[in-house]
Amino acid sequence: MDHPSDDELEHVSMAWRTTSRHTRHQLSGVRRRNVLRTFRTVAHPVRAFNGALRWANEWARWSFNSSRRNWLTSMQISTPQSTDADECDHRVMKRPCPPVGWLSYDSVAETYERVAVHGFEPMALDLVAAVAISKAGSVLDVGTGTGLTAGLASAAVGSHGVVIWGRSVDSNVESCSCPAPDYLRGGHGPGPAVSRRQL
Amino acid sequence: MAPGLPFPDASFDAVVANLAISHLPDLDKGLADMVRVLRAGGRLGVTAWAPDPADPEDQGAEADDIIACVRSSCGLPARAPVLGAPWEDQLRSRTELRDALTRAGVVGIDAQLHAYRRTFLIEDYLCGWGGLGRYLRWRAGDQPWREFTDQAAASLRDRFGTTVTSIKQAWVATGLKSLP
Repeated sequence: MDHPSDDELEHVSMAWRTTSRHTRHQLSGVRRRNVLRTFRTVAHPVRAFNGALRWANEWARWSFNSSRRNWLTSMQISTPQSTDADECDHRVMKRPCPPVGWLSYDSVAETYERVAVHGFEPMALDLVAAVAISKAGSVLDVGTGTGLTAGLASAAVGSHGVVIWGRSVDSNVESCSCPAPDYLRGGHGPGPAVSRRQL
Repeated sequence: MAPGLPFPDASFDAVVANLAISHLPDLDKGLADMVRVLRAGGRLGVTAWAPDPADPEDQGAEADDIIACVRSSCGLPARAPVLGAPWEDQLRSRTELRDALTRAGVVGIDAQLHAYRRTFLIEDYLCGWGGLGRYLRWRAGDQPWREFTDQAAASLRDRFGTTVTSIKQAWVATGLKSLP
């Protein structure tokens, strides 16, 4: 069987968004893939279904847009509290969605630390070198994450000159250090103490 | 993240943000707040991803195309509905980056292009820590995610062997807070 085209997937996706969260939860994983396959196998090749399919798509599009309009209207008079990122559309909202689940690096912290962080070290070195901080200077590392850049800056200015600031978008907890935390003192590199729950 | 760095005005000689400003909910407010906590004449340094290089040794683009084919065959969406780093594409432009820093009150801006080469094990290339990977894993669930990564890993091994070499470019931009 051919793979579904992007348009087909988009139509399914729209219909998908109109289903209840409970239904979507139940139809997770393999069952969701089966829905996609069933959709294409049954609806697409049979011309007789095309009219119904178009109607369903139009309904799904109208329903989705309608629910989004309602949701956006409610957003204008209240604090954003949606917990379903699928219902957010950055381009429409003109502002980001409230961060949930997958949007945060917290959900992949172990993997990120193992695979990604050391690869960013050359960039962090270039940044610290470009800023050319004086020995007695003070540095703020915004969005410090695992503390990689802060650790390298501490080598340039001394650990007491470095302040880190980050925030976990999941827990909404801010992390701030003034002066630098223990792991930055004495020439040690960044450790796991600040690595997991920050930006 | 922004607004509201919890520090008084003019507290630091330098402020750095490594691959962080593309994540700011409001880029202008965030940068302005970083400048606020800088002393006059202090230096702001930021990094942001730049356009991918046209480097024949870069296997990343081809690897990503292969992964996209497998992703489609597994019925997984090609994009996340929300951008985890909403300014990433815009800041790939040197002009956009300079303009954003200028609007924040930074002068003497210098934006240098740097290339970074990394070699990933296939499994690590597919571990899904990026925005789309995090979304797909969350949306599809563990089992479909595993099926997808297994298939993608097999395809990548057929093409590249055990590793993928990726070359990315980034802007390293600095500037000064203007004197009053």
